[in-house]
Amino acid sequence: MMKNIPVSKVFSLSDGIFSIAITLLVLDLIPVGAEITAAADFNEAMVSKWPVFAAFTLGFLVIASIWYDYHALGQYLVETNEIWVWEQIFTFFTVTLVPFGVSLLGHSVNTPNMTWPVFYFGLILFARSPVTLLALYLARRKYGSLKVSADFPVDVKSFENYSMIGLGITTVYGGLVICVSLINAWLALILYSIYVLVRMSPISSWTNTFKFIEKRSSAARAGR
Amino acid sequence: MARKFTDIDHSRIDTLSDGIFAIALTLLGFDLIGAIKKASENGDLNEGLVHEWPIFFSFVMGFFVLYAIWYQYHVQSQFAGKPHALMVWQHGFGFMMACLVPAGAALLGESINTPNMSWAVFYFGLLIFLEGPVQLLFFIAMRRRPMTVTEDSPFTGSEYQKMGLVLNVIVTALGLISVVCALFLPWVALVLYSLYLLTKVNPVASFNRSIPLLRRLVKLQT
Repeated sequence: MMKNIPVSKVFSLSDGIFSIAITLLVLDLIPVGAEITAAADFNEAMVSKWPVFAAFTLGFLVIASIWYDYHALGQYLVETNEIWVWEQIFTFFTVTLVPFGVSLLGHSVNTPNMTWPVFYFGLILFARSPVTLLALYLARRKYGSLKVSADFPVDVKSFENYSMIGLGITTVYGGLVICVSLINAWLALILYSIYVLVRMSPISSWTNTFKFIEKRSSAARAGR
Repeated sequence: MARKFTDIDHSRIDTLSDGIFAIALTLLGFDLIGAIKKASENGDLNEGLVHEWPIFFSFVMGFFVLYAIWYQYHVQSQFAGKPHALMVWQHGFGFMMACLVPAGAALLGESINTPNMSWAVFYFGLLIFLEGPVQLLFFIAMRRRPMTVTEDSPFTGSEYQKMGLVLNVIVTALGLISVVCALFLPWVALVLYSLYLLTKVNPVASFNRSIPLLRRLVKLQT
């Protein structure tokens, strides 16, 4: 019987994609150099280009936090299936779109056309959540729980359950924030940034979540 | 089963770093392509190429900066153990600076010998030296969360952290002097940047040479 590709193959592809996407973010900054140099007041020209620099920073944080989150769970996976592989490919698809979203954002922040670029950037940022949620659900129905290594610290089924709740919350939050971008693009940008900041430490987020769950279940057991 | 998720392996960060450095180094070539196009439009190709020397100079500087950062990064991280979130983001900041080097090199190439040279050299200096104060902050933040190191590491994690604090204070001071100098004497600042980079040509030897000084400053046990 044929078996699916090893997890390491997907990781090798991911390493290339993440590093290229994160480095490509600078392409928007390179032409800015020539424009700034040609200006009479160097610093005024530089400050006037702040949206490009801010978009670069946000894009960098977005890709880096996806990469971190991706490997934080990925390190425990031991087996793949076609649903998981395509979920990963969708993640890569959104990652490769980040430089485009950043470019769109960098050229439109503080202009009358700001609303739609912020909207599209939000789509790129949050598109992964509903797709991962769907993939997790489908994979669970077809193949059962994720195949993880023996050192996975919690019960896989309950991890999947809470991940699905988390992904559901993110999907709703993302949907709302994307809608907010059409009304108030600045507020949406702040909400995007909060979301990115929250995801910066996935290991402690999961550890704390499971500690909290464990505490609540022991309290409930004691109450009974 | 211990109810704790462990962090990613350091090898993951190393793999990402290899890709980032390789691509950032290659992106430096973009400016040269534009310069060659301009030079070809000149009647005399060699004269055109000589006229575009700032672009070639900034390419060499950018390449040197990135390669030196890459070398130092791997010299330091070969003994790194399992990282925690602060360490992951400490590396992340270093990669952000590496990604920005092609933009800094482009800025330098366009502005050398123009009235805007001072500021371009100033910002290029920031890219080289900003790592000093930021790493310093990370080392201070990590005082409660010790670094883990491999068994063959010549120093303990807390010794690395102490040395990191001292070295980054020195880099921050040098950087401050150099970037302020860029505003008044950009050519002198470029020489200072180059001298600083020369100390990174052989990071192992530079580090070993600084051990006696560090030993006096941070009470190394090994």
